[in-house]
Amino acid sequence: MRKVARVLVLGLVLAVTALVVPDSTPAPTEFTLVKLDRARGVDVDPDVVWILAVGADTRPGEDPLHSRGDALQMVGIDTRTGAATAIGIPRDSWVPIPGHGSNRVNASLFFGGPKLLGRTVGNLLGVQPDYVMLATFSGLARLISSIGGITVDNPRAFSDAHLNPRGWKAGRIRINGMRAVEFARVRKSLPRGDFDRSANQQRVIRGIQRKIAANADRPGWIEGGVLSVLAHLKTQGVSPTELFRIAQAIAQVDQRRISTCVVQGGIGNINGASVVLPNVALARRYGADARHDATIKRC
Amino acid sequence: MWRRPDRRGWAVCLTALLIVLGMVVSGCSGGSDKRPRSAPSSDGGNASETVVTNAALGRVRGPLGRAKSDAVLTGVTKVVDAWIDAAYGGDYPRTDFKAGFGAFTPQARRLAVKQSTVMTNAEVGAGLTGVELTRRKVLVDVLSVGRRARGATARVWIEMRLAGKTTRTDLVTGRLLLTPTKQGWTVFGFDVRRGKGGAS
Repeated sequence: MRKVARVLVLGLVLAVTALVVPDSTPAPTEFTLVKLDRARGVDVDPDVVWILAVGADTRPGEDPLHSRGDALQMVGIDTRTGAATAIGIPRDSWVPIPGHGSNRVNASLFFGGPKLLGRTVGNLLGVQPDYVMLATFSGLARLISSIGGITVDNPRAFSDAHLNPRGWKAGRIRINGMRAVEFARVRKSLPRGDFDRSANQQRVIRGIQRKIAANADRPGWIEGGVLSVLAHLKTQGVSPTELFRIAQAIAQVDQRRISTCVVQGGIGNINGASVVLPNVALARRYGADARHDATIKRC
Repeated sequence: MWRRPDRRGWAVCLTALLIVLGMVVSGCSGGSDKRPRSAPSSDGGNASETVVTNAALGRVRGPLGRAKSDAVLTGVTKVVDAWIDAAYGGDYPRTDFKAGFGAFTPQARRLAVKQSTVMTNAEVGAGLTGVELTRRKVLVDVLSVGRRARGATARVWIEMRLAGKTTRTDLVTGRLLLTPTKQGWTVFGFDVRRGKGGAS
């Protein structure tokens, strides 16, 4: 009986050894874990591209190039590093408009079109835009629909009696089409009004960028997106080739390197109208911080 | 209906995940033994062997005739081939790989040189005796506006076997971004990944 047990134990040890100890010939590779390195970069002149993104609430028959911009975001992209920043300018900011005294910043679009609006915002921040991209709200809604909607990180639940009585939940939410535009339009129900609205506009911009980046390697996706932009946005004086380069630069923005700030200020009353009196020193500091690397370290 | 797995369940799930992951990764590594192999060239043992590029049109967005589409494919493939040949192919051992970026814009060239570990074989070139390019595939997506090509994305897939001090099979995939200029198609950007495989 003991002999049988010894044979059994010996057999077991041999079997385990055969399984565990490798033989002298290399085994074929059955599993391979591959480390992926990545290289990326885009050459768009200049290295830091500044785009003033404008949302305009134009009615049918109105010329959006001479309307009043409702949403104003100065977006900077460092195409060498993938860093990006958005500086929000409250629509009711009372600022000097070259050749037209002082007025709400969005009136400069009405007075002198995108170029004057660009100069006005550029003077406030101390950074002039390379491009002014104007979208009507309906055009922006169609654009967002054409990319399948976006996801935004909404810090608080809010609603609007007219635009969306059921409201938007807090947290990461999916929004699409006109609902996404409305998310960026609501002001009255937000605790800090125009400033919070501007921050919501930045959340929509982040959502669009995230969607572009996530789909950039899908065959023909960027090319189709550029066609959609040409169809839905006003891109005066910008060639399709330039737009293609910009789109590729946006796709390469690194989500971890995005900084967003809104120009703060006080509420004032000028000629009976409620306006925002922007903190010009703060606006200039944002511009100076981001001028060379599209990064604002703190708001 | 989904139930939270117990500890044994987790172990089974983890094992299954590892097996699936292993299958996926090894499938992507280009290390398949089914493909015919050929050793690096024997004439001095330092030249790279190569295969013909499998090039095709991907998605053409916007109206562009067949002839123009084919011309884009030819022009873009020529640029991509020049990069592949100079960045990964050619004679070894060597340390100079800048010739690969001849059709890159100056800024794109600077960015690519800074990331030459991925964009070329510069990191290991001095210790190599040869590189065999076993697969090269290019799919070209085109942006056309007004019946003119305005931009293109070359989606690339390159497999190569390195021989010498470093012996392994690498896979380079990603996109080169191009626009047309008077001199032909120019690379203004890239987003490329390189998988460094195990010994082949």
